[in-house]
This record gives sequence, structure tokens and C-alpha cells, in this order.
Amino acid sequence: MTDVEDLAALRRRDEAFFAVLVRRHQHSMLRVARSYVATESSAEEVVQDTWVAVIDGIDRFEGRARLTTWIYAILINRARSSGKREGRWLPTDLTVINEPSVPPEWFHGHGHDDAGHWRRIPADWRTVPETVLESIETRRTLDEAIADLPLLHRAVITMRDVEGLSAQEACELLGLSEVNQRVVLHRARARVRLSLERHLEGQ
Amino acid sequence: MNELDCQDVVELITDHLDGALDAVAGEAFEQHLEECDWCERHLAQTHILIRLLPQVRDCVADPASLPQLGSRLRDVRPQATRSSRHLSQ
Repeated sequence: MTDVEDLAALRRRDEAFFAVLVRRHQHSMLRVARSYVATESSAEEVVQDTWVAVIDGIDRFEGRARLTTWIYAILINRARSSGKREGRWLPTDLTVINEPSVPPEWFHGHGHDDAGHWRRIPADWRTVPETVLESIETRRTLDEAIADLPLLHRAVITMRDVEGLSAQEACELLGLSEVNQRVVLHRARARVRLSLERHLEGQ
Repeated sequence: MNELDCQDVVELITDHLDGALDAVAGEAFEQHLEECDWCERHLAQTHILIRLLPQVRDCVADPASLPQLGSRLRDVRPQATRSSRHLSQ
């Protein structure tokens, strides 16, 4: 459900509210659109068209879904059509990372009494100061780690964890099975977690 | 399901968080977590990661297209209704 105040601001075509909305979602929308189209500039076009469609369609949006979900439904429809025009069947890259989520050498190997148990003890991030966790450098680390992922992984982690869509919404919008969505999300989180771990170790 | 080792547990975290483990696997997962401080730390890392990820939205400068969208908004803005004109007087 969309917040009543947000819905009212949308209906008045409140420019300030709209500017906040664009800033909040633009970066992630470009990332998701880019999974469907060939170039950054096509993705930018798709996002721009989406905002225009949002502005024009506000009165048809009843507020029963979350606003973010509605915007992403429009975005993905448009991205898919653009991709098809470019001759793509989407997303452009269906590569699924196939690797353990933690490097195997971080666990004791076969033959060891504790085989399969931690050899390299995980750091306790609950003791890391918030100033470090919420620093610009940390944010940049996360952003770069997402940018380095294969396209489908980028789209899934962006929709689920950055934009906060549910598993069901992500599956429906991206046309993925529940199992595939989870596998892709798991691999994406694993890679980004590793990048964050290296970053925090260097602090 | 037999007992899980840590290497199994780290691969089940997303299934656990999305509520996708069946009863038997879920119980084995919970039991391992109760007994293993290191896996509990790993799970806590994942929770912190998920909490931090929405910050990535703030990695952007103002989109160049924003002014253009603003003028579109003004074009389609509904005319003030009778009652709202009354209110503003």
C-alpha cells in the first residue's frame, strides 16, 4: 500500500515530491533497465519514458500496490519492449554465478576433525561503528560490488535489497521462478558481502 | 535432514530469510545457529548487508532529465478545483 500522503502528493503533481522520487529510484532503475537493453543510453531512454508514463498515469494508480512496485512494473514493461526492438530476449545475460558463497578455503577441509566448519572465523560486524557502516566509502563499496555483478544478479539484488521489493514481486516482474530468484539473490549477496568484508577489514 | 555443517548453513541463508526452508531443513538450520557462534556472526553480517544496501540509492547525482520532467508535471497538473480555490483564499 502506498502512503496516503505520498499518493496525495503524486495526484497534485507535486514537483518537490517528484524530484525526491526520481532521485531515490533513478540509479536503481537504470541498473534494472540495463539488464534488458544493449546500452546505457537505451537504459536511460527507458527510464525517462517510465517517468513520463508515471506522470501521465498517476490518476490510474489506485495506491493498492506500493508506489515502487508500480513504477518497476512500468519500467520493466518498457525495458522489455525496447529490448525486443533491439532483438533481445531478456534479460540480456542469463549467466548465473556458480560458486560457493564463502571461499571453500575458509572452512576446514576433508579429513580434518572439523571438516566443513569455519577455519577463518567471521568478523563480528555488530561491533563495527555505524559511522563506518554508513560512510560514503562503504556505500561506494556496495555500489561498485553491485555494478560488477552479472546483469541478472544486478537486477535481482537491486530490486530486492536496494529497492525493497518482495520475493514474489521480483519473481513476477522479472519472470523468474521462486527458486531461480533465490539462487541469483543468494549469489549476488554473497559477492557483495565479500566485497564489504574486504572493505571493512581495511578500515 | 542430517546435521548441517557451517559450509551447508552459509548456502541456506537466503532460503532461510525468504522462509523457503521446509520444516525439517528449517529445524536443522535453527539448531545449528543456536550452537554455532561463527555461523550466527555470518548471519548477522548478512542482516547488516541487507540493512545497508538501500543506501546505494544515494549514490546518484541529480539526473539531467529532472527539469524536463518538471515541465511535464506542470503540463499535466490538474486545474485547481473550486473547493481548493476557496481554501487558498
